[in-house]
Amino acid sequence: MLKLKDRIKKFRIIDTHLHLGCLSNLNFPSRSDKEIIGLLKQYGIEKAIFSHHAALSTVSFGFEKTIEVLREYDDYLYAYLVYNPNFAAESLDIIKKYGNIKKIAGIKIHPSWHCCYPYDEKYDVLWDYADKNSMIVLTHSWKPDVANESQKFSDPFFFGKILEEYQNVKLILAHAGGRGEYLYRVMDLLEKYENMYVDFSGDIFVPGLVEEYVRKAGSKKLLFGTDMPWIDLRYYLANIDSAHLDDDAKADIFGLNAIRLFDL
Amino acid sequence: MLSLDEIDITGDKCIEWEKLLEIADSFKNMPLIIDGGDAKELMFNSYFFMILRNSANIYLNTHNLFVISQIEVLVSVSGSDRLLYDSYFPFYEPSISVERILESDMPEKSKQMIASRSIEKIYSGINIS
Repeated sequence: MLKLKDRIKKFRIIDTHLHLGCLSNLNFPSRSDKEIIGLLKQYGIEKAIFSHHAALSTVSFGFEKTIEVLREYDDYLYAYLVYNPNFAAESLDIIKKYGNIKKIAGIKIHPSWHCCYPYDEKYDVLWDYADKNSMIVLTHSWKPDVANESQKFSDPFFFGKILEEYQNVKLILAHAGGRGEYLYRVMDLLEKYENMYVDFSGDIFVPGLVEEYVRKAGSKKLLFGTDMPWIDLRYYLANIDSAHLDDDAKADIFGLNAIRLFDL
Repeated sequence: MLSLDEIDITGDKCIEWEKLLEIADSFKNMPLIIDGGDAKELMFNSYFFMILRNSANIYLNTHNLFVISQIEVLVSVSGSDRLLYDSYFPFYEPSISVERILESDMPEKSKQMIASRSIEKIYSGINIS
């Protein structure tokens, strides 16, 4: 039997959910940008779209770090600009100024990190701008009633109403709802909202889950994202590779959907 | 075997790691296996270094050592005989944990140790009188 690395060679693979840069409160032992990108390339990942850890916490410094990394890996990376609703004007200024350059793939929001519901008025300017410019927004999504209370801000069911109001926004629900029954209920959202996508980043390795998504929502709205360095790339590659799906569906998930969505 | 899910009763990731060291030190012939359960073990990397370096009879299950290259780093800290392969099936797809070991950047001997030799060594050392 071929090794994993050889089995996946036939697919174009795009990582749509990568993080780069240091994070002060967690100990990631092997976390330099160079090491992370090295591992991606080792497994034939063609391109990756990242949000910088610093950009989740700070606005202007985070943006500077994002551009710094983009310049260094210009031939390989695309970036999300982070919208922080607690610094709405500053965040939106950056998005307006730089959101249309080629290496910016979309906007990242993290309602749990920023402790702000996505339907809060502080998000209105973002949704409005993203809608007018048909932008892609990647959002953290998670089951709300878990030990980590901040997850209540990222309930995937908040986003249905938002997409009804802002129909030109293309929204990616990261982690597909994260835990428990939410992983299955999110399939209904995908069926209902044409402009909604999911990625399976995070520790989402439920047996048969990917297959169930393809059965219910088709293979065209599922994206490959690693969440590195939080989770090692090899888990995700094995998860899609081992799924009981035909190669066409795997090709969609591994990369073709991202190539179409982001026009890479 | 101790499950992190059960120790971390509040879910706030506050675990008294020193107590585990005390238990391991008090019962030196008792292998103590820490099972990550559904907990995000990546939060605890520094503590893993501390408990592995300061004990000889604490072991870690591998199924949710998720952080990039975490398994390789832990092996470099404590040796491969302190890690035990597990799948956490039916909660996780078993192939992911198998492939993670097969694809790891370690010598074959270390992979074999994690896959089966570590647990064989533990069982061969058990003497119930």
